[in-house]
Amino acid sequence: MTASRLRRLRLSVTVPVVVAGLMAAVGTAASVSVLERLRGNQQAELQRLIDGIGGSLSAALGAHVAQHDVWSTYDLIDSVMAGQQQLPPSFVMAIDDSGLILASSRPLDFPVGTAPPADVVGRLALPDIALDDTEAVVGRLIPMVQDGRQVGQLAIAFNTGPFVAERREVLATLIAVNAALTLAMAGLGYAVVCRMVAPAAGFLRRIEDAVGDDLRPVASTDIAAAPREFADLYRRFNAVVAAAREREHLADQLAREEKAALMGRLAAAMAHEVNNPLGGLLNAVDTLDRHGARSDVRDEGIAILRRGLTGIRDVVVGMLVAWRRDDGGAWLTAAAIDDLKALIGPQARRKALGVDWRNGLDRPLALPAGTVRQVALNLLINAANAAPVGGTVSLDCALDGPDLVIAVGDDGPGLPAAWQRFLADAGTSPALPDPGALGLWTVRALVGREGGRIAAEVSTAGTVVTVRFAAREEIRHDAA
Amino acid sequence: MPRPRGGMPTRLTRRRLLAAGALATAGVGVRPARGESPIRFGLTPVVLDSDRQFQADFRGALERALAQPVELVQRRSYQEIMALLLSGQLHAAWICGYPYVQYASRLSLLAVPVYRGQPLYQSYLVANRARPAAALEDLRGHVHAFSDPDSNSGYLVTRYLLARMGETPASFFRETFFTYGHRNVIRAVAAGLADSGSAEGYVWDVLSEIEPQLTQACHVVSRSDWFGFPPVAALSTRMHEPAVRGIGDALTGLEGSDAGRRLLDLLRFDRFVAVGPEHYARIAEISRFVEMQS
Repeated sequence: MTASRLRRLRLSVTVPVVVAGLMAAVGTAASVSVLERLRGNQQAELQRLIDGIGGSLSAALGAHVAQHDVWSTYDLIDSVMAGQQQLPPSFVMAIDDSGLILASSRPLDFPVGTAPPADVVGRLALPDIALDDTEAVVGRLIPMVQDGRQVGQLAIAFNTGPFVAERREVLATLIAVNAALTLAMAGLGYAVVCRMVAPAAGFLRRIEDAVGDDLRPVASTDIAAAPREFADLYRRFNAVVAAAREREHLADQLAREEKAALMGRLAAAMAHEVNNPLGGLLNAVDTLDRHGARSDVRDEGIAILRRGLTGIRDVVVGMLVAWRRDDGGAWLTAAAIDDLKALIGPQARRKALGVDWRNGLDRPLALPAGTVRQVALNLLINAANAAPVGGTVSLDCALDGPDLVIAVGDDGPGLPAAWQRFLADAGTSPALPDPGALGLWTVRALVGREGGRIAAEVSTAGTVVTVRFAAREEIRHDAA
Repeated sequence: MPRPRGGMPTRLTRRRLLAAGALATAGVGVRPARGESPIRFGLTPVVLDSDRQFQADFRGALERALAQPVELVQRRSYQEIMALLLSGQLHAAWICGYPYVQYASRLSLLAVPVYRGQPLYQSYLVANRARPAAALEDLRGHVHAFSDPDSNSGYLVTRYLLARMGETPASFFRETFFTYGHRNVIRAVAAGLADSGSAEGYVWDVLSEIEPQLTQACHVVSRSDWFGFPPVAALSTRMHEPAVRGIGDALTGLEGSDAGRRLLDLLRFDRFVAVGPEHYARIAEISRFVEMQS
């Protein structure tokens, strides 16, 4: 498991895993140490056995070997072997002065009067006795001396199998004990950490609730009952909640003021749009009054009056749309979207913007019309602001299954990355990239409230901000 | 003659007898004497002499019959017991027929056991189970275990059979050694120390009952002719002593008491009887044959 994966795990899992890992490491180190110590003890024990049995036997057998007394030699070896029930030698062999076997504890393997196998003698002639993890036969060749003369050699050998088996048994026991301890410690660690992080889990639930705009402070009773570290955390959280609520309240207020300012600018624009042609219209009326008998003058005057009045009508329609009261739970219709074209019209004309308008909404949707319109209008205003003079603003309203998808585009320099992140990050409350620009903040807040999603795509051609709303239910036709 | 390992199968000489007797005197008997001077009785491995029950019952039977403490004397070889007997340090001894015929002129027979209806026994050639053999010829090249250089069944008989074939133990066998006991011969063969051995048939039969794990590892290759069972003998010069005569009477009278019958049952004997020197004529005959071939 890599460190990054470990960091992503829950603390209640991470800590037991780390504890288990540490226990396993400590257990392994201790086991290796124990086994090495055991190996050393076994080696010393083996050496003591060889020295003890071999030394006493070689001394006792000297006279028999000197006399070439096969039976007495065998009888003594046999009685010594019978006394070594716990750890008997693999074999004991008396070799006479001519290098032939006089007697051995395994006469069938080492017959009387034959030469001992060269490999066996070679193995016993090795200077050191080393115990490794594989079963082997180790031993010594001990000279037998009688009356100051070497009369032969005693070969004594032990099978290391019992030592290897003992070490394996100890290893198995160590593994079992370490595994049990590791599991117990991991379980204990899990229980302790779960108990320790329980307040954090409650805190996490509060944070998760906050993502759904249900930002509630921790009750004072909960703070009093929490551990000191978490009590401090709760108090700081409450301070953050209070600050967030204040900021939200301020933002709402600013939004309302922005709307009022927007309306003021609209009213001013309307007055401008009405007042400017009004002088021309009055002049046209005067001209008609004086020269209305002339057909060319009359026609031109009427044309001027028509254009002027049409312009005034557009301004009035836009104002009506802008001041239309939010229809609360009213369903969203294609007309509610198309109304926005009139609202964006004056700004578009001022910057000589082309408006590419596609409204594919063919039926009412169970979405709050006011919220959707406010979102779309803010995006259109933002797009119109971003688009260069003579540029293009687009709106594409379409249905994608049960979802409503509104894409607002412009051919401006592109939405800054900070704003892109601001719009796309639905789970947290990131800082406002530009505190004065509340249009997109309003968009993000409204879309988040309705459970929608926002995506901003920036390219060399400009910016397209796409908003997706999920219709809550299918509208019955009789209700429409 | 090539010398088998671990033994000295040479004839007893007077000098050797005296030397061995002096050494044996320094030895310790099976049982220390009580206040009264004990009757000293020599034991050899012609029977399972190391059996504790046998020693206790045998000594008890003699003590009851003789009303005197009895000391059982054991040594490693027949030669040592014969040295003690011939030097007058033993009242009597249970010896083999072969040393008896060698010193028949100085010894008198006190009693001989009746085994399975007759005072006779056989020598067995035995081999390890892993060494199939049906006759002496099949044992050529073996490592062969003998009992004692002064044993009839455990040495002389096999040597006689080889002599008839124009062979000696050294020429016929790859290796030979003495174990100084018929039970030891069977142990050596069972363990594989020897491929084959020469042992007393009576000891084999008893071991088949009481230590079958030993005899099961071996098989009998051949059985010899019948020979006189090892006798209890004493120096002829001491036959006037009541204690010496009493030993013969005690043994021949064993079947007359419960304790005696228990001892006879323990030894698998029917009874003890008195026999004459002619009972060992066959042993004397093969002994002379072997000596002539040497």
